[in-house]
Amino acid sequence: MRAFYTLYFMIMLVGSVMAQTTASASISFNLPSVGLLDLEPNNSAITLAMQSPTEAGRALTVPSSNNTKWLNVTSSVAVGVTRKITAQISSGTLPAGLNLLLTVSAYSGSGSGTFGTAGSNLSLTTSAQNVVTGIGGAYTGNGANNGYNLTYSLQISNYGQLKHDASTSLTITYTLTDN
Amino acid sequence: MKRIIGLFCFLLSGASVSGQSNAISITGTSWSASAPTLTEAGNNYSSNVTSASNQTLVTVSSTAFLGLLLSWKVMVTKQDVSWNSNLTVWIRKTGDGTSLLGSITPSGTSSYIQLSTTQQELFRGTNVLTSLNRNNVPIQYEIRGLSVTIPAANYSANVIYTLIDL
Repeated sequence: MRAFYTLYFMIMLVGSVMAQTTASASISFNLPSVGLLDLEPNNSAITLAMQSPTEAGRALTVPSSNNTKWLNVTSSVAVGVTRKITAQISSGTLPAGLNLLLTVSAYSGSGSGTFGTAGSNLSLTTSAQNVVTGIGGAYTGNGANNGYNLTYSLQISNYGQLKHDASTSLTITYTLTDN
Repeated sequence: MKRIIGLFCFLLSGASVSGQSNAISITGTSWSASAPTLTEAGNNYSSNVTSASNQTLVTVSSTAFLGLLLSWKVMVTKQDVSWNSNLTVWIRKTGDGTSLLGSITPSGTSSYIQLSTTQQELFRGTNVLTSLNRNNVPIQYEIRGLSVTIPAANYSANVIYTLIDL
């Protein structure tokens, strides 16, 4: 009987050392690249109208700037990748003698991430120009007062080219692309 | 009489000739998931990604040569292959599986625990009599902390289930 107990305790000892096994499950998770850009609170038209002087000899009155529009962005990028936003006049022709200036504010809002650097006093043309560069992984928050505030203003570049009632509609296109 | 008591103790111990009283096996060894689609500029991810409630099924088999009460516990840990520390993986059992006579604790759906590189107990139980296994305990995973500020990439990790005899 003593031999039986000895064997029993030897088995128990071995059991306490070896008594575990393992199994493994794998988890794969994809975080995709994402690039979303829109205008808030909407993309309705804004109006910038020069006002005629009421007194002979006075200059035209340049309208107040308009800063009612915001750019919202969601950007998810791989390591080492940054993005930029460009702006250009994609349809319509700016009346002769005028410049359309755009200032893009630094980011503000409820988002988080790497928001890059915004430009100011860009004279918009039909060629794409960088208005924000160095955007990384970021989200601005949704809606007005989130993201990059856009300020449009008119500038008279040449009085001699101005024509009465030369109104026109322009479309400004913003594009988010990888650098 | 001593022989009978000794044999009874031997049976209760669940000790086996190999020293291993129980073994663990799983089905559903791979879970692939992706972040939900974002549709509105300015927004971040707002939800977690959750697997099926029975993504993995865990079975604890009693392999003892002889045994009456075979107690064990299942520990879990995460082994990163390529992972971002801002993404956290959570795990829970969502049911008890099936067993004749055995017990399992906690019962039913448990609370999520966050997986880490340190072993944590997921559940424990007792199998009554050799060959009466605890079968197909359903396991669910959840990934939290999604953000577009985390680099876009494919991430992978392993969940290690370790069975410890008690």
